Amino acid sequence: VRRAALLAALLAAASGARAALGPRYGGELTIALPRFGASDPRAAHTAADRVALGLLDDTLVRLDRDGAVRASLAAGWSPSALGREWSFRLDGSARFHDDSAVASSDVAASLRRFLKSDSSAADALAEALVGGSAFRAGASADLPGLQVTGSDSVTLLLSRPSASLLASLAAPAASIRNDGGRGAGAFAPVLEVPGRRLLARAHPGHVRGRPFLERVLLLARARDPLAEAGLASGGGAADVQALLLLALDASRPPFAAPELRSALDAALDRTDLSQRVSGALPRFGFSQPAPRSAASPSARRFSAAVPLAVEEDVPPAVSQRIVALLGSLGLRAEVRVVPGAEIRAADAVAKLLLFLPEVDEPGLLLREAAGLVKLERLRARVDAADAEPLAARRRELLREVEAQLLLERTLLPLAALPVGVAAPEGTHGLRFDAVGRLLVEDAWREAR
Amino acid sequence: LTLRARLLLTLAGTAAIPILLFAWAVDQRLDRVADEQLRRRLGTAAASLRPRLEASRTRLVRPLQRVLAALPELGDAPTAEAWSRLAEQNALDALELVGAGDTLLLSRQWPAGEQLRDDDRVLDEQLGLRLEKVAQGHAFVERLLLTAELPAAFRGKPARLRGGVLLDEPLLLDWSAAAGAELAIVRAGGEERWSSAGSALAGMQLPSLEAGAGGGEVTAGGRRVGWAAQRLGPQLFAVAADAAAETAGGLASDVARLAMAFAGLAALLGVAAALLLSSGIVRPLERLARASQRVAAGELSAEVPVEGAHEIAALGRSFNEMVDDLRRAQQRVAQAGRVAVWRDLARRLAHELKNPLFPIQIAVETLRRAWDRQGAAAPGPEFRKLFEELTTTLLAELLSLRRIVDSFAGFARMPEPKLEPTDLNALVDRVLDLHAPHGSHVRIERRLAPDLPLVPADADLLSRALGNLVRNALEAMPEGGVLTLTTRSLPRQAEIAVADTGPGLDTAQLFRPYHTTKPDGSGLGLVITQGIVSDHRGELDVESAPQRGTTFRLRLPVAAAA
Repeated sequence: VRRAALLAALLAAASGARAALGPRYGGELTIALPRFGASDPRAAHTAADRVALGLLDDTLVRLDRDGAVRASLAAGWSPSALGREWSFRLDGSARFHDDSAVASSDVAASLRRFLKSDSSAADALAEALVGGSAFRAGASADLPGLQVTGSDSVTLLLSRPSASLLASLAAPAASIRNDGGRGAGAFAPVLEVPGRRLLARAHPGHVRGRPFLERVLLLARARDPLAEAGLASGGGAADVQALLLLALDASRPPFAAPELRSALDAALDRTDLSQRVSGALPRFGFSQPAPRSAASPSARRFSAAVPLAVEEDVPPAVSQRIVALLGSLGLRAEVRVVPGAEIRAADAVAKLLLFLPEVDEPGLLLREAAGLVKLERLRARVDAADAEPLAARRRELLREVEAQLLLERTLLPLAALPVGVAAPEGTHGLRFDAVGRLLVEDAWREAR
Repeated sequence: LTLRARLLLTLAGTAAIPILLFAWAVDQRLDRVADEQLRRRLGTAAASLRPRLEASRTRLVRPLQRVLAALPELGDAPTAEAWSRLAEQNALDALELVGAGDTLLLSRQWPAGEQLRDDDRVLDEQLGLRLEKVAQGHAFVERLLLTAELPAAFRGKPARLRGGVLLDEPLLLDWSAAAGAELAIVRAGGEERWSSAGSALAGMQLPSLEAGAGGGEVTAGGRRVGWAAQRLGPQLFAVAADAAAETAGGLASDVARLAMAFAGLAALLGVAAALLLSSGIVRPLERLARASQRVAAGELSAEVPVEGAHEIAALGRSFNEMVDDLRRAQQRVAQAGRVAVWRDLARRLAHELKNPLFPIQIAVETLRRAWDRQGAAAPGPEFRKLFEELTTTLLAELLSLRRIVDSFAGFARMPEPKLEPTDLNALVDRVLDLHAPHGSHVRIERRLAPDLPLVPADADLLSRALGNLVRNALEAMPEGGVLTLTTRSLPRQAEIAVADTGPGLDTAQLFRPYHTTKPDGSGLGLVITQGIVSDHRGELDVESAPQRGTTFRLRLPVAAAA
């Protein structure tokens, strides 16, 4: 199994250990990715795309992997009116890559663009924001819920309390850019060959100060970058979990038949699948599907052709097993390999994809997952949970949504795959945040 | 088409068509021979597949036995890597363990199917031909394998150990190379077939194979491909195909190309030859045609250049002679016309002069007689003397005038020649003999051709004409000289030349009547001579140079022209 199938290898000359001396400025890091393409944060669905975003863009707030919300471009925020009014004060030191100051008007414009995107986090925010749904649907150009209250402050007016508000604002699609399209991330682009190469240099006007590394080079390589570079996993490795999902379209045959979905779900041996990819058992926000020690072949045989779209980064061991399982049910899989950026929009009755949540927050994750299989009725329940002010009650509601989602058997979690970065020795401080962005801003390399 | 174009086409076609016909015949023959050889070879190749399959299947048993022996060492849960390694060590592309209920327990080629029912298709149980799923990309491909099975035990339960090798690569490829033809296994109906990668058989449209063995030829990818089939099993056929027909076709094409090249070359040579020939044939003919048009337009001086001695040159010569004859005939006609006019004029003149001349003469004579009868009674002696002188002169002039009139009358009454074969040499001798007495002051030379043909002529008239010329020549040399008479034979003519060494004369007015250089000449001698020659359909030319003499040439047609 390719440990770094999705992401990267960091190519650099190994140096002697100087970790004891602490972080140092300077140095260059080369990151080889299988591919990357999205320069628009609103279309960054794959982990590879989010590596670039982690370099170039920043959001009002950040969400750490432990669920803690941290300040970023917004130096602070304060709720009032029983959680219906949120005021954000911008950090005056933040500057875009063209050295212009990050102003509240830039924030408002970026959030308006965010609300128009297909992001599920934007969907959650629009549901709560006054006039947000109409604005998102294009019914109105006005957005009374978003107000610029000063040169360095914006205020969000909500129609109801929203537990996922801050997490929504941490979504990659909510990155703040100015009218010139310049971001405010820790690294500024110097040279970009779209989809092939991106050279970025340290941005001194970053809100948290100049990063340690001087330059970062992203390279797209078709083959496994880890094997190509001949690097072994070393210090500084970090990873996140991507969820391997089988999404079935219950509105079309043959998966319109609940018994077929049940038979397929029963045939899935998630323990076996996880072992095949050296992964773990899958989970959504709260629960894990019950593992089975062996597949349970259905006694019933179906006969149909199943157009199956497979995201190109899915490990073949899994996709082949799914094809075999479908075959054991009498279903003839017609496999079509689809790039990660297109898999969600691909027209197929079954999709096998790697799901890296836009924001790893239970409510937003369930909303995004329900959106994958177009379960609209679950969205209303997620909204209800989002409006619930009591955390315990909210968790309970979300558990129910998750159980219902799994019961539908249209979104079948198969395994959790580690999406790792292998760094050469002497590289420190690399980490992912809760939105799957690789944060390079705190990374540093030991002196040679 | 012009003669030149016809020549070009004829020669080019004559040169190229036989070569093309030869190439076509060679092509047909090559095709037949190649087809026969191909059919035999493909039949043998197709028949060789079954023994090869059986022998290869037998050879699978030993590696399977080795796997069977190594099975206990792997334990109850061998890893995929260990299982794959074991297959690789024994050169098995496929290796699987199948348990009860056809459950796939272990599979090298399709590990995704483990613990599921093995539903791979069996093409032929007896030959061990199976369509096995082989992992590829995110799914699998079905590959044709030659398999063998051994009973085994796994996890304490009976199982079957099945191993095999891929048929399409490299076995079919190797066997195809050995058989000299591409081999494939084809399911009855032809829709399913298995061959080596890149084989022409993959895309070939084969007819139904239900009938069993057979063969034929199909077109695949624009190429002719021969094929032969042999039954392998109830639903399977071994098919051999080869583009050897293509090779033969290629050879034939080479021949055809060469033939086309040679035909083109031959056509070019033919064209070149035609151009050369046309320059030798057509160009003279064209010149002849143009000259004919000029002659037809009245230009009798037209001549064509005559080169060489072949027929075209002979034609040119004949044309020139014909034009020459035409020109001479025209001159003769003109000359005869002039003579006729002159004769008519002479006759009228003689008639008009003779009538008053006679009474005048009678009157003068009567006057003289009357004068004589009166004697001395007449006037004085001076008058008498004058009277006698005048009347004497008058009578003398009348006599002279009478002689001239007689000459005119004689010229006008020139009889039609009575043509008889005449020896011109004898005629010359006779004339010279007749005039020799008057020519004692000159040297006379005779150059008579011994082989002179007889000429149709009126000897009397011709003697008169020749006599006129001899007399003129003698009179032109009062102080002596040389008179030469020459006879010679010309094409279709005989010539008499009368040459003197006199002072020469002006030839411009020579043949006009009443033109004379002699004090007592009538000016009719040469005109009469010309009239006689004209009546003989002959020609009379004169050449003269001052102080070098004059030559008259009298040419008469020989018998054929007469």
